[in-house]
Amino acid sequence: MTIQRWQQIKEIFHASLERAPGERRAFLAQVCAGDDALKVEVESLIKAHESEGSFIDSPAYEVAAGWLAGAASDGPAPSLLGERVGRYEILAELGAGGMGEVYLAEDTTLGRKIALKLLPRSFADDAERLRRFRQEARTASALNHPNIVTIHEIGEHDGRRFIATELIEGQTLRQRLSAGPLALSEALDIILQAASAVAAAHEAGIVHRDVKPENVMLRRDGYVKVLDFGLAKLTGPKAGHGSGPEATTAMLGNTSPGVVMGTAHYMSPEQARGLATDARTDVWSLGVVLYEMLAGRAPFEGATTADVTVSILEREPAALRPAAGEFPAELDRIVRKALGKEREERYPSARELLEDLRAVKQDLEFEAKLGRAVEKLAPLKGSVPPRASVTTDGSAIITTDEIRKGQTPSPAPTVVKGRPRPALAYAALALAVLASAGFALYKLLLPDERVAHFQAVNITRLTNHGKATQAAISPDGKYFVYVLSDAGKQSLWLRQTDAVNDTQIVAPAPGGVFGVTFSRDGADLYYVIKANDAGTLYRMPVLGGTPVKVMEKIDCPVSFSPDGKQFAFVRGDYPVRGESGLFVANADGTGVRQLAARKLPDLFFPIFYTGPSWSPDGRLIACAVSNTRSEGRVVAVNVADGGEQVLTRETWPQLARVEWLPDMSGLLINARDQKSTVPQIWLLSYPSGEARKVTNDLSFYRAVSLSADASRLVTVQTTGLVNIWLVPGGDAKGAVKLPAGAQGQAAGEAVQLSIGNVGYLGGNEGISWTPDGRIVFINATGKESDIWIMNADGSDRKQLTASGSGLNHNAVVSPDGRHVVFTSGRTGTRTVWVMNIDGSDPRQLTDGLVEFLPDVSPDGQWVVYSSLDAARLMLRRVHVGGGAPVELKREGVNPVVSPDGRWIAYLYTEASAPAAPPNRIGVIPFEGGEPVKTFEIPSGLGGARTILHWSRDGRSLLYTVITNNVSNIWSQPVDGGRPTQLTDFKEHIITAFDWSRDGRQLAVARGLLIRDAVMISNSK
Amino acid sequence: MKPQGGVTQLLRAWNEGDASALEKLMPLVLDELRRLAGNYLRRERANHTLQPTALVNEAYLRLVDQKARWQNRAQFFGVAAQLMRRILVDHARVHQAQKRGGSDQQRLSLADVEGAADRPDVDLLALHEALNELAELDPQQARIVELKFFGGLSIEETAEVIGCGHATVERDWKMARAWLRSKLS
Repeated sequence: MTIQRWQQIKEIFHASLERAPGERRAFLAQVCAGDDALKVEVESLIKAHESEGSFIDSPAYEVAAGWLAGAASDGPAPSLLGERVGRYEILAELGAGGMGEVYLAEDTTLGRKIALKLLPRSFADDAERLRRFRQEARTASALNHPNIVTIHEIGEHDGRRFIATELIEGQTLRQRLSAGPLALSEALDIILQAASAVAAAHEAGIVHRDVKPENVMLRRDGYVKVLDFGLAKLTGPKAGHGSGPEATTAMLGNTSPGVVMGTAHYMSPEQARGLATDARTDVWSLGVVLYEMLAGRAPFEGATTADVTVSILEREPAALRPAAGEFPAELDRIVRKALGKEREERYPSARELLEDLRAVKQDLEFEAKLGRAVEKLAPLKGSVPPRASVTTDGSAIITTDEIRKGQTPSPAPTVVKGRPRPALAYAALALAVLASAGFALYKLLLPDERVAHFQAVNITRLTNHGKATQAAISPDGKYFVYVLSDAGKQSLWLRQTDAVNDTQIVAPAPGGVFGVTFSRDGADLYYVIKANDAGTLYRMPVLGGTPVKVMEKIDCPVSFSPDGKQFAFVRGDYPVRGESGLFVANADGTGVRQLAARKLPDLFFPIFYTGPSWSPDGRLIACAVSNTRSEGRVVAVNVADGGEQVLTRETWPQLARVEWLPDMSGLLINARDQKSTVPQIWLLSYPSGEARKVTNDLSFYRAVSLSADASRLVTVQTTGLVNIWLVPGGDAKGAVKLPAGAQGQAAGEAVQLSIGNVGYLGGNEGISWTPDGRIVFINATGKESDIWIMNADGSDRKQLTASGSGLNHNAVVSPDGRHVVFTSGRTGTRTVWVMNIDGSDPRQLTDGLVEFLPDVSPDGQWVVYSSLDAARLMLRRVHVGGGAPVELKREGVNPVVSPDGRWIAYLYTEASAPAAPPNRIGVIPFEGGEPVKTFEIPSGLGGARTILHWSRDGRSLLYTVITNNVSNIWSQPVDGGRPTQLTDFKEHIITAFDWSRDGRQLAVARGLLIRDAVMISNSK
Repeated sequence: MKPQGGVTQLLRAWNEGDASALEKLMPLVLDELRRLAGNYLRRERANHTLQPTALVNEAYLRLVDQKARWQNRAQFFGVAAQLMRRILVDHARVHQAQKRGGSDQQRLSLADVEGAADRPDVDLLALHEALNELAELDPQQARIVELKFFGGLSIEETAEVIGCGHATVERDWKMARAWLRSKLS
């Protein structure tokens, strides 16, 4: 056939089709007159055209997709089963989504199950995007928010990036939605938790950008977990370079029928327009999710992505009609506010949305309580003798009791005021009032009744010698007891709170006194003395007498039951190492019964300074628990059945004492949150889990003891001041304090870094000489810790790390003087960084959890550092240009490279007790391996604050020891022999030191801790 | 080379007449389509239906620079459709080769594929050959078939890719379809 012929056929074919089917034959006969072949050709085409249905009407695409998938599944997916990806062994496939496949895997190192997400290969190539993703994902994960999925590792395997996260057993919200409508309470619970996660992320500067039911996991125990923070940024279309507008996978202009990966429904107007996203983008998406949960369908629908997009941009969602049950009109307002087309109309961040939603939930709970009260009252009308049940204000009290249980300690307030009436009429009135004015009553009355515990406080110093380590107040508030730590011994002192004279009630003795508790009647004092890692509980009369041993093997102060007949306590490493438990016993130490247990990596929080609190109603015992990732929570263990509930919303890196308020509206806790460097006193509301600071300063607080009426709280406040001293020739007598070398308050009370085999408290400071005789040092001021440089006379100080870059520690100047290696918490976890000597170009070298005390090899190529991983302090090495870190040695801390570059010395612990401080020095080849030499630090000298260095000539190892609260530097010859004391300081604790490059001058950071008992009381 | 930038540049090169760009483009697009198809099919088990153009759209969004999208959309869909055709035909050829030795001349048809049993039958290789023949006579019609049948595009989308009106596409499609039907019946 020729083209001309084809054209002819084409014209006639089209002309025929324009005619009605009945007329086509006649038309053909007419136009093809004389050319039968032409007529046959066109006729057969018309016949084919008129025939019904044909393969060609449905695209081959679906079939091809099947084959493609077949080809794909021939590839990575099934073959990965049983395979190893890094240290993870793949056990089963959990699912697949637009972001790659997800597997159930086992972490072979830690023996735990995790979820492993393999990202598509195509995502692995863009280093800048990947870096930003890692940073965001890590930051979100590091928030330790109970509703944010914890990321264990982001790594690469065989050219594919993977993300190892905690395993969540449950279903996605999408799956839940498809199973049927959600009850209002269920929907509210889910959105509250999801919004809480997003709010926490917003506060950390992270926008999720892809909140949708697929990314919200519902755990079986009721926890909601939001997934994939930061991932949208990685996988979404790239917007120009760097910080341009971003959008989700679905875009305006996508005219396809059907939805691309299902994201269009949750896309905000600004995403649809391809504009920049911010926190309000997530507010929108949360609004869509809430709407869908309540209504059973998405607010913006359409047959195609384009239709959905138009709907998002232009239409108001249909009025919210819940799929199940009634709901407050307030919710409709909240949803509409979240779904404002213009960002300015929406909540500024998820936090404000969360607050409004919480208010709704509280109102509903209040209503529910009213409802229950109403139900209780209802039978009165007929069956129950009125007088017996409904007294003057009895009807109201049924209600208020319920309300009050959590919120007010004041006795029997009346909700409905009025003279006693005939019971039936009164009950009816009460019902009417309660039912109609529930919210108003709630709002009007409760705030007045509620005691605002420690809302505004006065802090009074009880001691001023700076040597108090523990303190407790008697139930009546008239006495307080404190532990005095002096010259290595501790003694117990008693004082009447309004007096000034102290009475020693327990004489100084070695060993630590861990917490002091008054008996409920205030007559006896219970205290635990810990010596050689074994704690013993003693009892003695407050006003003097002989201490009596009550119990052995106890690791915390006790807390008494309301009747005072039993106490609760914690045992660590019991019954075997690595396990810990919460116990109760009779007041005389008999009848010990275990209520709850933890096994590593979980434990009843650090043992030091922790302690349970028995609730005033006798039902619950609250106690801090944690895991080896320092994710601390307060749990309440049911005394009757051992059942547990978590009282905290967020996780806390440090948690110590907890103490119930007498009205059970909350607990006072001694804790450090993610944003702080030092533990403060907080009020943790019960049961909401909201936490607010009672103290808000730069001091380090330890211990919480409350008077019975909760008007007074006693704690120990620690402040510290560290200065930099220049010591010519290392002769302490010639030490000169540099005028400008303040290292900041509280610097000495470092965070406890380990709960594994090496207990190590040091390592926040750093001091390092440059080759040209300048000093790089740490300046900690308040919530920030920065790296500075100055001349050796203290002049010309300059800040090297940017303000606002969080906590920067451990500065070490490279041998050539061009770089500073340091650690920084700016990404959420503490990792090793390097920057130029002028502070420019900071680069992250590692991405572990807690990494500290780096040192640089003499050739400047390698950084060795301490890393806390899975409860173990280990030594690692990383190239200064980046790359994967290499493990050098397990169970060690503070690695330092010898001046000739051949050896690494480090501290380690040889002890059976957990968290024992380092007492030995090991020397291994630079490449790693077994120690070629070990040295013992003389008994009693090694400690949690020991810092190790090589001497500049490489012949000695220098370390600090503390005796009687004074630090000095000792020198251990590498060739052997006894260590000798090098400096002769008479006071202060050394937190960092470094010899100048010529070995002539010693720069040392040293200072003291001032620890005093203080009383906090409500002001007004 | 970054995948997005790469695809965008190759599309541009191809558009400017560099035929070799297509060969470089194919594996990139195929890789993405393969992955997406796998995802879709897995989700299909959970009652998700596969939208004909969703895969290509998805691949497009992932592979093509956002800024360059409007210009490159048509080419991309063209590439994807060609790619799908190739995959299907290659697959059919392999299948045929495997069957050889049994009943001769048995060719793979769409109905052989699981899940497509209720589809009208077609011999893919015959279709491929007929389409080549059509391309000789009427390249535009062949392209429309490729886009619609292999690429899964609607009339409107096809018109956008080809760069002509809906009516023209509609007419050409009708004829091409009739011609293929009669050819393959």
